[in-house]
Amino acid sequence: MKVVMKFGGSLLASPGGIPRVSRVISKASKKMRVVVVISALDDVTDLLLHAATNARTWDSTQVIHFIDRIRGIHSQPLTEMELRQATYNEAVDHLEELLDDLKLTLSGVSILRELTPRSNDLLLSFGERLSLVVVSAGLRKAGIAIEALTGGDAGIVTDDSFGEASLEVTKTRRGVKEKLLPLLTKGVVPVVAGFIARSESGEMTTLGRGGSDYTATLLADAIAADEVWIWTDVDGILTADPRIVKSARVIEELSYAEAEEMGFFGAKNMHPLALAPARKAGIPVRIRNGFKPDRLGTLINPRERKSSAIAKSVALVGNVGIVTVSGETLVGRPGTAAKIFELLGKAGVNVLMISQSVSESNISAVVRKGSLERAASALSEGLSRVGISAGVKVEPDVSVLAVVGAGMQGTPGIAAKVFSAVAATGVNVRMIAQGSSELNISFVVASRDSEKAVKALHESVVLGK
Amino acid sequence: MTEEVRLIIVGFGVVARSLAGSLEARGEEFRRTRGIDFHLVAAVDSKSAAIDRNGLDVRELLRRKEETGRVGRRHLPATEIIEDTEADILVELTPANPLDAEPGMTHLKSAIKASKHVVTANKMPLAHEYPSLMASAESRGVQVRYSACVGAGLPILDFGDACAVSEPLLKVEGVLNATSNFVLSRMESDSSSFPEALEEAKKLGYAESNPWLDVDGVDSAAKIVIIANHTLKKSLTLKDVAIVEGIRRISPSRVKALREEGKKVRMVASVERRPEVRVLELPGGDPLSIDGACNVVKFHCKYSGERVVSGPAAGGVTTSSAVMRDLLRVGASIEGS
Ligand SMILES: NC(=O)c1ccc[n+]([C@@H]2O[C@H](COP(=O)([O-])OP(=O)(O)OC[C@H]3O[C@@H](n4cnc5c(N)ncnc54)[C@H](OP(=O)(O)O)[C@@H]3O)[C@@H](O)[C@H]2O)c1
Repeated sequence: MKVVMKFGGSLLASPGGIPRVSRVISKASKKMRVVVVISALDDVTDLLLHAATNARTWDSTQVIHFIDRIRGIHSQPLTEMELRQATYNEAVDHLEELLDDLKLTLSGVSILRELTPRSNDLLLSFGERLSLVVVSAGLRKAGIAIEALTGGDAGIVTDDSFGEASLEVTKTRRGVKEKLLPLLTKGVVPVVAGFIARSESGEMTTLGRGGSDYTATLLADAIAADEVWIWTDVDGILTADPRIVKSARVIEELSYAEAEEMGFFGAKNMHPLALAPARKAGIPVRIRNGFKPDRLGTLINPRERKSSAIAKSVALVGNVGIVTVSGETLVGRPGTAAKIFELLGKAGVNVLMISQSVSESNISAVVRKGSLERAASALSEGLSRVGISAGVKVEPDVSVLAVVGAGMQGTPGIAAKVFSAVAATGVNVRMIAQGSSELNISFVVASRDSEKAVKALHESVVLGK
Repeated sequence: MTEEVRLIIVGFGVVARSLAGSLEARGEEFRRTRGIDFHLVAAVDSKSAAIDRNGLDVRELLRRKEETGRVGRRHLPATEIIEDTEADILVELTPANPLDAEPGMTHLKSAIKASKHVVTANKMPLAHEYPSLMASAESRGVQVRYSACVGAGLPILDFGDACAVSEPLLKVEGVLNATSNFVLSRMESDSSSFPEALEEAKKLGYAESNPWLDVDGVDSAAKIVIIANHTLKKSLTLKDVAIVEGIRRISPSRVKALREEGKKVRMVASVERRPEVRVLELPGGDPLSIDGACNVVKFHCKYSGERVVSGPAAGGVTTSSAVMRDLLRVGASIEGS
């Protein structure tokens, strides 16, 4: 059996995280062939993103200070692992070499006062590369025969559109197979830095929002792995947020389609893009808890298994707002909804939901609160430019409830049923939309009512009480 | 006639305690030989403050700081004390913060605003805003003295002033960070690796627990900015310094190979037009290739050529001796006024 295992940053960076991960890998590698994919240590990616936005205005001192913060995050676990002096020195040396490159990159940005997409990719790649140094040292200490590889080393090839590089699928499949399979045959565990790849011309590129999960699934596809295990610090995908719903429990099994719907609505476990290679290849993906490695977690697989419950989960997406466009001229005018989508897209606003009410002659879109103002001004300017006179109104302080599950497919009157579960609690539903896949129904309610509504929905449609 | 000179010390760490010790031990001597009677009217650390307009009992103050970790019982904001306490000089000895120079910057500005003279060992406020701080001090008619900011006790700035009396100075370059120089010397003398040598510097109390200021060149950069402003009369700040390279990436093998060629690697800060900090390979006989926790500075004089000052430049006692030098100078000028 071949398994690609990806380890998340918060798991790696937790106290004793790397030894814990080493035990998991060590145990697994005795029974199966294992490929390991790692993320950047905890908040390093955020720090690098911060640097990407700010380094233009930094002076030497600020660059050096930033480097020292990054150094601290990586040298602490190295020190705690109590490595042999020679191993430690070697790791520190390697770390310093990378930090030196990082410093050069940032100094370049600060001198030129410009961050090109190419340097941006290079900058973001350091998170996983630095993590690779630290994690490899820990795995070697645990006596695991490993080979440390960047995405490029592992054979992952992209085009060179920096910032949004796309995978060269055939070349990657071939490259990865050629690199990883011989290692696996020798009993060596390849440890691959996630998120990063290489362009054909040999430059560092990144895999975008799918991140390390995407690395894991695409490697799995290339070597025809039997499963992908995503190790995190939670028990799996839950039926609801356990901080709100006490009776929330782990979902044992999900289909890819369901998982993607949940991912879209913010289940933080996985980015929808990241699942694609596994889904296409029909490789099951498990989400597991690194702190409790004896639990099976959540299995995402090709089959859509209907359970007795109508839905599998209720997600709550807070911090959203509604922007509503209204006006008589909107009604019956074809293409208005498309125009709205287009304007919001151009303004870089991500639309979570959209709904049109003919009776009230308006169209509402749900967007993240941070982009609410941007959405409103894009719409009022954009629509008046094409001669549509419309009022634009925003409402902050609303939340989206997303009910997801294949059980809702082809069940007549399902929306009404779900709706009445919310209505029974006395909560006013502001908007409702059913996804085209029929795998989800989403509602918008006032934020102050949202927790009450989540609890009610969880009881009635997930637990089926 | 003796002149009473009232001091506020803000920051009561290694340097301040050494200074307080000397004020206590040598108070009588200063009264007798200089006619200056120092009174410590307020002391402030990060958690508390002690104030007595008639003069604090310094011995008691030192004892309390040692026993309780605090100079006083209550917390009072340093700025309030600086503005409201009647005193002649603020002695600013809080930690060097390279990012925004706080809290020292605010302390300095409050003192200048309140028409108090300033003596400081904290280089960062000056490195960040030398030109504007000096301008506002001048407009308020107060002195800002900062011998200890460069070379700890080694009178580098005074030496440069003396060189500049009769001729223009063209360039200044030097080893300005004693910790880094100690580390490099150690790597040369007993083939230690960088982390080992740094560890030793920490044990000996030379390096900060987080030594990036020292070994990555930021401390040297701050000092070269002060030299550029003070000695070369340039108008520069820390932002203008190109910190090209620190000493972290220097390997024992490079040190060894250089030694075989009779060379040494040193972190050198310089200013001619643009200030910079970089690592240089120097021939053995070069005056800048000094060993140990020392500083060395070369002033390039237009007519007489190179003039060099060097010596040990680390530690609280030597630093406080420079602070004392400044206090006596300011004290003397007050007396004369
Ligand atoms: N030591 C040297 O060899 C040397 C040489 C040259 C220049 N200098 C400079 O001299 C200055 C003092 O050095 P040091 O070695 O004495 O440092 P230190 O031992 O770390 O002492 C710093 C002092 O500042 C106090 N402090 C921190 N934040 C404060 C705040 N917001 N308000 C009031 N007080 C605050 C601390 O309070 P707590 O006691 O409550 O922590 C401590 O008493 C630094 O700027 C340093 O760079 C030192």
